[in-house]
Amino acid sequence: MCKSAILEIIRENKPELIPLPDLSVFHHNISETDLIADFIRISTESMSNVVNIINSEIQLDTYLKEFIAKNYPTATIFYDTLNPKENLDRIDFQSKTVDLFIAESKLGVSENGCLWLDERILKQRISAFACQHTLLIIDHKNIVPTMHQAYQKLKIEETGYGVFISGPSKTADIEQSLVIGAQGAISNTIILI
Amino acid sequence: MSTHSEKAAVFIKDEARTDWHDGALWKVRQKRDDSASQLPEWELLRETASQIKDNVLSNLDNYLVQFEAEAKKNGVIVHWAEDAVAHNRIIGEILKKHNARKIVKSKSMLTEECKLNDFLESKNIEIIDTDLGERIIQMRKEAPSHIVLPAIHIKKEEVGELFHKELGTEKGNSDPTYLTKAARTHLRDKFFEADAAITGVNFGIAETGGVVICTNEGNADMGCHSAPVQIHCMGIEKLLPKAEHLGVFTRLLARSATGQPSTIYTSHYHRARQGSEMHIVIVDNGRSELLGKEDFRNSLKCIRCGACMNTCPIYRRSGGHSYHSTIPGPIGAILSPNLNLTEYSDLPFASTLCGSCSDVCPVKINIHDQLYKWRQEIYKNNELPKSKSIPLKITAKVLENPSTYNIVGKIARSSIRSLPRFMIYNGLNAWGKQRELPEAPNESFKEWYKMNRDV
Repeated sequence: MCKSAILEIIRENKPELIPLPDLSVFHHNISETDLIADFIRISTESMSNVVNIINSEIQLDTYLKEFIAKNYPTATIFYDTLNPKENLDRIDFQSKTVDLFIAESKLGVSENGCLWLDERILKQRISAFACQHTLLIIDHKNIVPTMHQAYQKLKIEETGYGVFISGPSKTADIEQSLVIGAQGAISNTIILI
Repeated sequence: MSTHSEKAAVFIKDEARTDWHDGALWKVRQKRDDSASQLPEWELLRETASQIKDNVLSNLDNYLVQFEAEAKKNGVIVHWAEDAVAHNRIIGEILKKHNARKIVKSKSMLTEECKLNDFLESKNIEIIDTDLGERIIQMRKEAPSHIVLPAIHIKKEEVGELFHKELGTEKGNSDPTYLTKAARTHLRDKFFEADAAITGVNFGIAETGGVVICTNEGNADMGCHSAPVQIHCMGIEKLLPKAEHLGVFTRLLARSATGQPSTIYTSHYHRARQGSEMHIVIVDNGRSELLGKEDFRNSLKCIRCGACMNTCPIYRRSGGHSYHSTIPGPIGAILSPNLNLTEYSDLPFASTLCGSCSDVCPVKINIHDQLYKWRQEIYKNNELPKSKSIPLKITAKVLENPSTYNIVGKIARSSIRSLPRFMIYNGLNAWGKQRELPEAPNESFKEWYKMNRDV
């Protein structure tokens, strides 16, 4: 009932149709070296991430095992989306403190450090938020210059939920003082291949 | 109800605090400038965003129909609310159906506009704001004083005291990290206990029927992903035609708001997670009427970044609460009169018309032009207070007649020089409050020109 009333007023009041602008003006010619350098700089300086660069020839799972043991020595409960044998649905975030979330993003953005994760990877949507720390992996080949290219590559409705994560959760709501670790993860580390 | 200038007079009594408030916001404005200046295409982005919104407003009915159809295909339950009362009623009904008693809410100016918290509390439903700043002001039983930084008017010592009382933190500890951690623990419990989660919407996508929500804290996600029901409240003007348009708006939003290249989380919701329900409430509440006002229609382009507030010399030195409306600052001063001209007739005057708001607006709303136009509307509707209408009438008379103007000028110049202070600096002269009038010259410009033109 009220839907038709709202639409009726809009029809009466809207101006004449104005065409959409051309988005092809936003093309970014940037060398791969600069693209990756920007990603690392912005991700660490602006978004409070720790970025580790590894060679693509390194065996990822062996590297990760060592890396986690060294950097998260007290972590006991993991939400490891890279382990195909893990039954992730079983992990209960309410009753347990999950120490570390591990995932590989297939799309990164150089201009702001954003990494895309969707429901196919996340399984439980809350996993990247309710854990204490996140460890995200991105291959440098999957990094695009800006959000324009990112949305060209994505089909946002492909899964029920998808998110760009650019760092650990943060707030500056108390006197504009930046505090890392608000409601979501307390730290975010990126492994850049 | 006291006016903006009366409330501002109270705010600026504490000079040190006014300076602190002014400085805090100016710092945010500078971060925005730094961030914008790093993108050579910044102006092109603003222009493009403005044009996309022009298209949206000119085709809004079709986009809304498309959005609803796509959302329904995704299994989302879509509701339409013509005003705030309908919005609250619909949410009340959804909550009742699920027997929901405990609700978590992430930041939404729309639910503030609709006074949803008061409505739910009157029904004995617990509603917890989960954005840290919003939680602080909720505990203080206040309204947000800024749309992005709701607790910008509060000092950390005050938060320390508040949390000591409400959350049992150490007395006298006002370390922001310590206090944020305490809030994190407190809110974690609330998220997992919640029967439903309510959020606002940054962007709705007509092409896909999904909604996009941007936060830094991750509170919208914590709520939506733990509660069995998620409800997204969206004003009709929030739509974008296609997903590709998000590229333009996500690049502008965080940079304009806080100077960050992106918010930490940019979440795209299209379907409910397994075993839960997703609702979208589409709200009009005066927006479709505003669409018909050619002079003011552009204000519907607003993406609620707050840049106009951070830059406004009046906002920075009078505080958000002086505006006595849900949305303060320059954008609030052009949106509020549309909702109630009588109640908000003072707001378009809370501006120097310097135009800085229009300069920083990421969607190029002509805010200062609209402030000026609202002043004319207010005059036409006889809503001007006597303190403005009488001097304006007198001024008009004086300016009408050159010889009256010359005489009044002479009297004014000699009065400023010779009258005792109490005759000039008193309640009748608003220009003499907290400032000295300029020294009066001996002659008018006309007289000076006559004397000097042959030299």
